[in-house]
Amino acid sequence: MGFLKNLIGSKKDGESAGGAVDQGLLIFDSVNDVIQAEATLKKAAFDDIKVVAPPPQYRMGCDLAIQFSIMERIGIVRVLEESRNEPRDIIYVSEELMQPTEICSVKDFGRYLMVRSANMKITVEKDTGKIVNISGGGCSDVPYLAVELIGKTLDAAASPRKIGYTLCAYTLEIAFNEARRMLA
Amino acid sequence: MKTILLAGTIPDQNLSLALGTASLCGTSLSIDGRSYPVNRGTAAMIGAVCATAGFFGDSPPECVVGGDIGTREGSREVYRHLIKHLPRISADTLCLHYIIPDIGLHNQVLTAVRKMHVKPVVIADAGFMYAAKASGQARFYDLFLPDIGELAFLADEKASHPAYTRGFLTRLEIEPKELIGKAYEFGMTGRCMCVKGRTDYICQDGVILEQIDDPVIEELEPIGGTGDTITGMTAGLVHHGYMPAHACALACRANRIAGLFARPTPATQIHEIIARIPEALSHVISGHEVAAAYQQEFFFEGVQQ
Repeated sequence: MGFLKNLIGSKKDGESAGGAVDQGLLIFDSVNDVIQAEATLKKAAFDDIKVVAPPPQYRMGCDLAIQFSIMERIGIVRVLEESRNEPRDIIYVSEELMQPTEICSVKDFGRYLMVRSANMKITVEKDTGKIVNISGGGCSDVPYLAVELIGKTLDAAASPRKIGYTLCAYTLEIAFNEARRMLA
Repeated sequence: MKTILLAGTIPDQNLSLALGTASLCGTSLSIDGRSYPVNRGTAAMIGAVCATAGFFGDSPPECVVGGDIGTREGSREVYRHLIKHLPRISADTLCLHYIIPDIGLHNQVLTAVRKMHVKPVVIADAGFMYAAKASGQARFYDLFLPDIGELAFLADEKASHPAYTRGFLTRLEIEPKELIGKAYEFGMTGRCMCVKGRTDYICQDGVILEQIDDPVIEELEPIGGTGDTITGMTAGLVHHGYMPAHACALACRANRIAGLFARPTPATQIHEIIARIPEALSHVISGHEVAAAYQQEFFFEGVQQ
């Protein structure tokens, strides 16, 4: 429970200088921790949580945070404690925060299909579902993800969010899932 | 002697930091007595610099490379090394590449660059470009090399990473000129910008100097590392003495020609393209007149020394 003392509590629960606040933000040390926390919370039926960009004062450059209804704070904190993935901070927000893009575009190369989401692209062989290329991105796990995924089929390959660590991995997963959906 | 310094990460969990001169041998890169596969990312960029330097007979690149699979340790080693040593390093060209974006450490690197005796031509791509843009200090750079998805990020003044790019994506292929204008208007790019895509856009000071769209090799787009080879060739050409925008134009052309020579499919791997760089450069440089827009005087006009 130690992290609860890090609550930014200058405002009363449910209020901010700008008026009513009903959203909290879980701040973690890494994107990977956020990805794990999101999976844990969704599994525990906290379906209304959203992954968002943290506010500027909490940004390092490759960051995710989890937005939640403060009505659910106690339950969310308990689940994260039990999974030993506690946030570094919990803050209250009233502003609209940016969400990662979910948009994909697709290019057909005949034998191959390329799916792009934001800066990440994955290319698969249509007949076999084999991943033949990964391109784009700029974080340091992209070459690692390419080594781990290329040559495997979409069904056999590990999910990019499971083995990656950054927003590029998070984005690649969107393209990965779209490729899976299209070739299912 | 002129020196080019390259910094980035490669996915080797057993590596902390590799320092030294790089050489390219077939499909492998050698730095500090160890070999690394040239697959994509910083390894492909360094491979392209080696091929370019070899073509001209220039000195091979010096490298600062961290082993990082995304856990940040290798990236931090690179940042810390640059912060500590850059003020005493003499380099004409500095190319900063794949890394976990960290705004605070990035800003310390820029402070170290400012302490260098002579400011090098500073080039950023990939994670370093993300950090540069997110820090609000993009204008310090001489050259950014985004692809079309990253251009949308540069053009979105609120986005801190390409993953957060708002509703520009569906307009990417239609309106890159509009996005280029926004990136310059908001001060979110370096002085020169090379937008890599089906059409390559060579820009300086908010002006599109040239569009390159021939030959179109559709199969290059899915191949991981084809943007990195443009960055590497550009850095090598700047090291040789070309102005940044001119270097970009030559590199974009050479990349297409190298792709043409390699007869690629979407499953081709980047080392097959890198192997064709010397003959592609020979082809491009012999047939390319120096346009007035790329003259040295144009680039240095107005530069704060």
